[in-house]
Amino acid sequence: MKASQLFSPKEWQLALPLAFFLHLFYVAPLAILLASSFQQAPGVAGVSLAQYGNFFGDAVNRDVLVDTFILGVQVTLACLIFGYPVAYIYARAVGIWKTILTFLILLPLLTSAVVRTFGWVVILGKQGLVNSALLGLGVLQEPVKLLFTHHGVAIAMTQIQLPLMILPIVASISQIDSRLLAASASLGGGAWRTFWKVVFPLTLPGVISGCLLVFALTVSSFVTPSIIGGGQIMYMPTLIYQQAVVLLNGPFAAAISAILLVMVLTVVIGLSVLSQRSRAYIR
Amino acid sequence: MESVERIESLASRPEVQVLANPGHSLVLEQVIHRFGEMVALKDINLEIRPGEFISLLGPSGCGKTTLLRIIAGFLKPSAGQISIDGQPVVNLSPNQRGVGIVFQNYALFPHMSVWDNVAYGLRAKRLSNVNVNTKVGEMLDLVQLGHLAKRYPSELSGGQQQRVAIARALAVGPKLMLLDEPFSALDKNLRLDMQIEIRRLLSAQGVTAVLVTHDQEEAMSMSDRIAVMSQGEIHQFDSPTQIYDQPKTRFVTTFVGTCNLLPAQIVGRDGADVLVQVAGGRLLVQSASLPSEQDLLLAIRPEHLRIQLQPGAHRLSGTVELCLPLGSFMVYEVRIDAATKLKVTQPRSPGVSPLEAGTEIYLELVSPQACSLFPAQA
Ligand SMILES: Nc1ncnc2c1ncn2[C@@H]1O[C@H](COP(=O)(O)OP(=O)(O)OP(=O)(O)O)[C@@H](O)[C@H]1O
Ligand SMILES: [Mg+2]
Repeated sequence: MKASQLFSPKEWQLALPLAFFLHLFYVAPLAILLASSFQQAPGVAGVSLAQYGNFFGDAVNRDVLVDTFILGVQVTLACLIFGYPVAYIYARAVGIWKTILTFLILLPLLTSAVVRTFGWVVILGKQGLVNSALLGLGVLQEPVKLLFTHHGVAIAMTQIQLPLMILPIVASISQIDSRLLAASASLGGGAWRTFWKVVFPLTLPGVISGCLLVFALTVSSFVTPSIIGGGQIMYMPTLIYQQAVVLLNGPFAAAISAILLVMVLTVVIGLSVLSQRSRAYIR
Repeated sequence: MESVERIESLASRPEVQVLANPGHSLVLEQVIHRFGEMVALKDINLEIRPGEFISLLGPSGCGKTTLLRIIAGFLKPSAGQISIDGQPVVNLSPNQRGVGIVFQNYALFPHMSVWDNVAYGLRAKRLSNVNVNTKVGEMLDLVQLGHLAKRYPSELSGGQQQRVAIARALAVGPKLMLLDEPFSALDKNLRLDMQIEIRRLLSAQGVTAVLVTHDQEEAMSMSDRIAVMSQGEIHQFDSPTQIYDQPKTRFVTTFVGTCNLLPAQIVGRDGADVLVQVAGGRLLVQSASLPSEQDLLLAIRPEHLRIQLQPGAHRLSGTVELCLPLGSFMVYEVRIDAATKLKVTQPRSPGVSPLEAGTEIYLELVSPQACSLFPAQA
């Protein structure tokens, strides 16, 4: 027997180091977090649903949950609407344009979210770019409030998450065989029909992955909502931070985390099922 | 040789002769295409008659696909005129030309069932549901795939996918059908079946068809006429038998079938009869067109040489080097001088033993027309 046969790891064995790492630093802390969410109060033993009761008993908290979900949906849809055309143009671009677009699309990912968020503070402020422009053009009589509003957060988040929508869509568009488009045209299909009946359905897996990424990262993002929201509008992550770090209410923060987790998981599972279905026939 | 048998077997099928409609004509005039500096097509002229099945035959990279894409409208030619039924179509987009295409990989829509694939073009024409359903049913029956209507393309075999692609293209009633190497993904047996099947289908519908292929047997057995292409030019556009028997250029001679090429010089002539000097002797040939050059090449197909054991006028002397029995034929390799070997095929008759290597023999042409002369410098 050769040495290579003595040590020939099965494929699954190659994943062991990562699995170990994930269990130690991800699953275990998550389990501890979940366990602590069932504490009645910090340091009290026993299992209780008191923290969850507290959360859902308070209208303010319920609003935060709903706002977070709405923010996630809005940002995801906005990213899809703005991102799809960009991805489409990118996938079709050639030569120098491709390089320029790659740079423009990836640039936001290469700068820190903090930097980009402060950029948006400058743009959205009372004397910011948007208001100055609209006032200057006479569209507005007085500045509109964007900073410290839900809409401001949604606008900034859309720009920040956009690359995460564009990249998977680009991947799925560039996988489409150009002969399918030629076939559609030769059968009399115009540009719209070709897009809606051939291109779009075939990019659904990419669209769904993009939506998953954007939604999950939006509802759990902290920096941008805190800065653009200015502490005046709360989302789940800011609420968790406040409870855990400011008010030192660990079990309550854990319960909010668990609720956020369930929300994300529900959407992820829902979209994954859709994506499985759409992928089944796209081989 | 096999291809000739296949032509006959195809032509003898009664369905082939049935024409449902007269079909449409396609004319290309002085079509030129350049990709940047590279000239992919130089001055292409083709006149395809209504209902005709023609092949574009040529080696890889000679511009077949480019020409097909120009006919379909996916590429605009750098210059030239294309007309279908006498109407110029160069400025029409692909979806306005009524030209159906079957791609090499079939390009079926993977997210649609067989039924929806075939219905695609009919729906694009905004036909009513009733009409769509009738027509799709008809088409699937035609290609005998009615029972697989609900399947997705990934659940079909190569041959089935190809038939769906044909049904999809035929459903909209195209004026022309373009087929880009549609058989190259199929194994040999299936390929033969599909060639016959498709030829039958298209002829029955009376659709004018252009097949792109680099397989000469395929072109020979399926086409009414073949356009032999090389490096962006059409060398000859003729019926399969003419292409084989009267190749017009040296390229056609060597590309279609096997051929012996012998350096030759004209030593005498009398009307159409020409006496040429080649290695191993002199031959009397009759050639319709005589090149004016001094240095020539004489092209002779292996089956156009006959082996004789006695010397005589207009015979080449040689020695048998190798003898291979190939089914009903014997293939001999005959050396006629230090630099020249000829391939000769002879029918094999039972009881006659093949010639031994080393036997001195004499070769003659089966007829003075069974050869062609070309200038030695291409
Ligand atoms: N988009 C393009 N840009 C530049 N050159 C091209 C392009 N498409 C084809 N060519 C060139 O044009 C020539 C003809 O190409 P074409 O695809 O028509 O060949 P073909 O006869 O179909 O060959 P094959 O049998 O390999 O498919 C080739 O030399 C090819 O490199
Ligand atoms: Mg090709």
